[in-house]
Formats: sequence, structure tokens, C-alpha cells
Amino acid sequence: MSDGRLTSRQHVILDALASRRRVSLFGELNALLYLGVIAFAGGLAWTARAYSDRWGDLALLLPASALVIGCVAWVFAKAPVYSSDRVTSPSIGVDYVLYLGCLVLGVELGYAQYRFPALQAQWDWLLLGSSLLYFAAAYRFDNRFVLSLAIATLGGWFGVKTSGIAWISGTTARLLALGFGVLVAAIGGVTWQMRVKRHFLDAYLQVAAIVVLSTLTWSVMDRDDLSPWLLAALAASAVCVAGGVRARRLSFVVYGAFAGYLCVSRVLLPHSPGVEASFFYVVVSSTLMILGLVVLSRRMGRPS
Amino acid sequence: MRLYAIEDELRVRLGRELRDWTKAGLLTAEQDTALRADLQTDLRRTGVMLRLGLAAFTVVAGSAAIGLVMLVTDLTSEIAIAVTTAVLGATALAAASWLVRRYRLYRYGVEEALAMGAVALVGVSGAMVAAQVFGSNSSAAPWAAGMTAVAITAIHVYRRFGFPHAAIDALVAIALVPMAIEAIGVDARRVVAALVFAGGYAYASTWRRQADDDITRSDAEVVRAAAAAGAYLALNVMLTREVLADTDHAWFRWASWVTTWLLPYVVGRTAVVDRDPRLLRVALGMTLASLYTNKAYLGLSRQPWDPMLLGVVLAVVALALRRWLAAGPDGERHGFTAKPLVERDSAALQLASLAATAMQPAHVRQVPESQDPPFSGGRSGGGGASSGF
Repeated sequence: MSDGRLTSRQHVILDALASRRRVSLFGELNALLYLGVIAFAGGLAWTARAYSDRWGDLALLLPASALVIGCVAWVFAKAPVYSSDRVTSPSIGVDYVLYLGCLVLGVELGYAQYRFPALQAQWDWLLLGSSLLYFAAAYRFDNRFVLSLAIATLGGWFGVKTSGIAWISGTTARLLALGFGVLVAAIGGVTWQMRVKRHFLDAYLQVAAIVVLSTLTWSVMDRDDLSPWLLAALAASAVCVAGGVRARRLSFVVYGAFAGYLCVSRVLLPHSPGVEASFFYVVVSSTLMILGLVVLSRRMGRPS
Repeated sequence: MRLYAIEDELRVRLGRELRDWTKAGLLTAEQDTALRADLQTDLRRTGVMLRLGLAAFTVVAGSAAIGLVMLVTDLTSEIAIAVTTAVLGATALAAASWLVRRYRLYRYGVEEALAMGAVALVGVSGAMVAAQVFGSNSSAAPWAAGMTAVAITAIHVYRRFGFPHAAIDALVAIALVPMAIEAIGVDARRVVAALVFAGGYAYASTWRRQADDDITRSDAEVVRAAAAAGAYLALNVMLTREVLADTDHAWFRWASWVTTWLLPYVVGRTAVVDRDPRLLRVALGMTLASLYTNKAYLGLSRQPWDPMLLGVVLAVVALALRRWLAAGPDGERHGFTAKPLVERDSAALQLASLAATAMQPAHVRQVPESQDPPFSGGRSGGGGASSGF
């Protein structure tokens, strides 16, 4: 780099980065704030559950509501005006204060449902309403953490638990999970078409792909015979792989390949003439999958 | 010995940094193109997701191949199985080397899974041989032999392929050697493991100082950070008592408590002096773990509001640190800044926010179940089930 292709100013900056005379703590500070917000909200929920009888509802709901209002007011005061494009936060704290406000609101709603039986009948609508509120906040303030919370809460309204892995049982639950996945993908696609926060698209599509493929794969795994679930799973896998190739996103190619492989193997393996044949099938098919993925990635022009 | 020329690895690394710098606007596209022309290698690489996918399929294929060999050979003798396992390990290692030499794979997933699979197979083989030689009354000898075999093979893999995780595996395996020797007591086992990690830390520090290139220095830093984390885990009685059992001695518990606060300070100070981000992250993790286990050490009961206090402390520390760094000349102090310098700093945050979807404390509606054909069926079934993934 000393043959004159860099300006002296560039040389000074890049040399400081390469030799680590300048190091960013951006990731570490964000991690501390994220953990801090999560710990605070978790502690609030625990405290509310443990002391609701002793302290009374107002002693918990009033400070929590004040905190939510304070967070939102502070964020409105600090945040830049809305833009459909990516907006950089004026400071590292703004994103997390908004996220804290949304999480505390979620704790309040959960507490209210637990304490006031009258609200239990309206719980579904409260869940949907809070999800819409989170979506609005995520778009207004360009906040990916709140967007994740909005998607997870919408998933909750559909009966889909996005935290943890569980066997999806029952037709209604599976269809709702598929509906959720398709809706999430549709929201991402429509907002992308409308040029509104296009950088959110990946979050939508990742969630949609994982929910749809895992639901369909579970459904195929759950049965011993050919079923419409298999066709649906294979179609979804093919769409995922094709979309990944077209958008040059290998993560979707890998999701689709895995789901398709699992479903086909689930159907074929029970018909194997013996254990040796089953092992032989897995060796050959896995090797073919490896070769297929390598060929696909090279055609996509990934770094090699 | 090493399958990759250090110059090629340096070119790959510089190519990655070049991309980051261009994305951050520190270089123009023309400069990127011109500089990249000097960084061409014959190494084949791929993205993280495909690397993971290829590694997973290799593990599946390899496991099935092992099962097939065992079924076809129908071995019953323990020694014969141990020898076969060792041969399979050697074959996997040879296959990984061949793939690298023939196709110049570099961090491609396939060769990594094969090489690390070889480490596991040789470890199993070593344990089985020791069980035959020393008898199966005690698990200490097979365990120690297995871990020693893992350590030796992992060191070989590191020297041949340069995988930093192989070097970490070797260090962890050496530290785990005394874990099955119950006669020496849990405290002695913890101390021996901590001493092994401390030795690894000292060795890695010297290795780092003497490194002539960024690749070697980076490997040394990875091993040093892992050694620091390992020593902390071995000595924090409260964090690992479920795995290693609690101590019976009050003095050991108090010494452990003091160590859990001293280690983050010492390691963090070294990280700041050396500007080593990995070591700094380990020091931060240690500090969080020490905060988490402090009450258990002091015999105090946990209160529901403890996480709230922890959250406030973390947020205040982060914001104060950011403000302090930003107040320095050019927004930095001692070479540290709170600003993202390259795309990678912000990209990690985007990835974290995406992963956060799986950790959101969202409420879940209960879904009433109905059994409708043709999509009906389900092993678990049942009403009131909610779905999850």
C-alpha cells in the first residue's frame, strides 16, 4: 500500500485500524446495554409477580407506566424525524430506551392480564394491539430490536412461540404458524416494494423462512405416510432455495436444502430394506447435498 | 507442515479488511479494485452460512459412514473397534488434507468437519484402548487417555490446518485430563485445570509477543482468550458446581470468590494494554458472571429486583463509558472509541437484533385444537396446544 494508491490521510486511518491503534468498543457497549435492558425488564416482571399481592397493583403499575411514558417521551425528544430510509440513531442510548419502554409495556400488559380477569377476555386483542404498537415504534424510530419484539408478539397472537424450539402439534396450530410465516414474509415484501425501511426485509424473511420450513418439516416428521404436508414442505424448500439463489443469499439456500433433505429422508428411510441400506443412503445423499451446495454456491459467484 | 502458506492467509485476511474499509467509505471502489488485484490466492472460500451447512452435512455423512463400517465389519472385540475407529479418524484426517491440497479449500466447512471429526474419533479410540489395557473398573484411565489423544490430535490439526478452535480443543482436553481422577478431590481438580489454563494463557501470551505476522498473532489471541475463560470457569465454584460439584472447604470458596473478582480485572487490564478485543469480551463476560454469582458466594438470597439492579448497573456503566470515550480527543481515549469504525461493527448489531427474535419475552396465545383432514394428524395432538419452533 505504499505505492501511492492511497492518500496519506487514508494511510494514517487504515494503518491505525490495521495495527489496532484504534479499536471500536461499539459492539461491547451495545451488548452491555442490551443485557441491561433485558435484565431490567425481566427483573420487573419477576418483582411484579412476587410482590403483586403485598404491594398492590398501583404500586407496580404506576411506576411502570411512568417509565414507559418517560421512555417514549425521551425518545420522541431525541430521535430525528421519520424517514423511509435507514436512519442512524443520534446516540447509542435512544435505541435501548425505546426498547426498554416497549418491554416494560409488555410486562405491564402481562401483569394486567394476570391480575384483572376482565382483561383476559380481551387478551387476544391486547396482544395484537401491542404488536401493532411495536411495529409502529420500530418503523418510526428505525429500531431493529423493537421490530424483533413486534414480530415475536405477532407470532404470540398466532400462537407461535418464537423463543425456544418445540414440537408443533395439531393442525390448527400448524396452519396458524404457516399463516404467521406467510404474513411476516408478505409484510416484508410489501414494505420493500413501497420502499419503506427496506433494510428490515432480511429480518422478516429470516423469521418467515424459519417458521414456515420448521413447521412443515415437523409436520412431515410427524407422519409415516405420504401427505399433503410433504408436498407443501418440498414446495416451500424449493421456493426458499430458488429465492436464495436469485437474491444471492446463501442462508436461505441452506435452510431450504436442509428442510428438503430432512423431509425426503423421512419419507424414504422407513422403506429402506435394512439398517445398512439406511446408512448407505445417508452417506450418499449427504455427499450429494454437499456437492450440490458447493456447485450452487460457485454458480452464485460467492468468494472462492 | 502447514497446508496453507502464511502469505495466502494474510491475503485472505487483508481482502476481508479491504471489503470492510470500502463499505465504511474509507476506500473508493476504484482503490478497492486496484488493491484487490494484489490479493488474489488460489484458496476457495465461502460464506458463514454455507460453511455451517457444509460442515453439518459432512458430520451427517461421516457419522453414517462410521455406522456403516461398524455394521458391515460386525466387530465385537473392543480392541478391534478401537483400531477401526482410529483408522477411520486417520482416514478423515487424510481426506481433509487431500481436499485442501487438491481443491484448496479454506475454511469451507467440509475439511473442518472432517479434521475435527478425526480428533473425536482418535479420542474415542484412545479411551477404548486404555479401557482394555487398564480394565474397566475405573473411568479415570480411559478418560485421561481419551483426552490426551484428543489433545495430541487437535494440536496436529492446528499445526496442519491452522484452525484456532483446534488449538482451543487441545487446551481444553489437557485441562480435562484430571477431571475423572476422583481420588484427588474436586478442589484439586479445579486447581489443576486452572493451572493448565494459566499455563496456556502464559504460553499464548509469549506466542503472541513473538509472532511475526497477523495470522499467528490472531491465533495466539484466540487461544489466550479461551485460556482466560477456561481458568475462570474452573475457579468459579458457584458457576460450575452443577458440573463439577461444590467445594467442601470454606477457604477454597473464599479464595474462589476473591479470584472471580481479581481475574476479570487482571485480564481486562491486559486486554486494554494489548488492545485485544477478544480478551476484553472475555473480561466483560467474567465480570458479568462474577456479578451473577456474587450473592451465592456471600450466602445471600436472590431477590426479584436483583436483575433490575444489574440492568441499571450495566446500562449506567455502558453509557458512562461511552460518554467518557466520546469526550476524548477525536472521540477516543487510549486508542478506544465508542463509534463503529467499519461495517462489521454495525453488522454484528444487526445480527444480534435478528437473533433477539428468538429471545423476545413475548406472550403466546393458546390455540384451541381441531382435527381436520387432510392435514390432520400429529403425534402429540391435544387441545389447547400452542405452536412453537
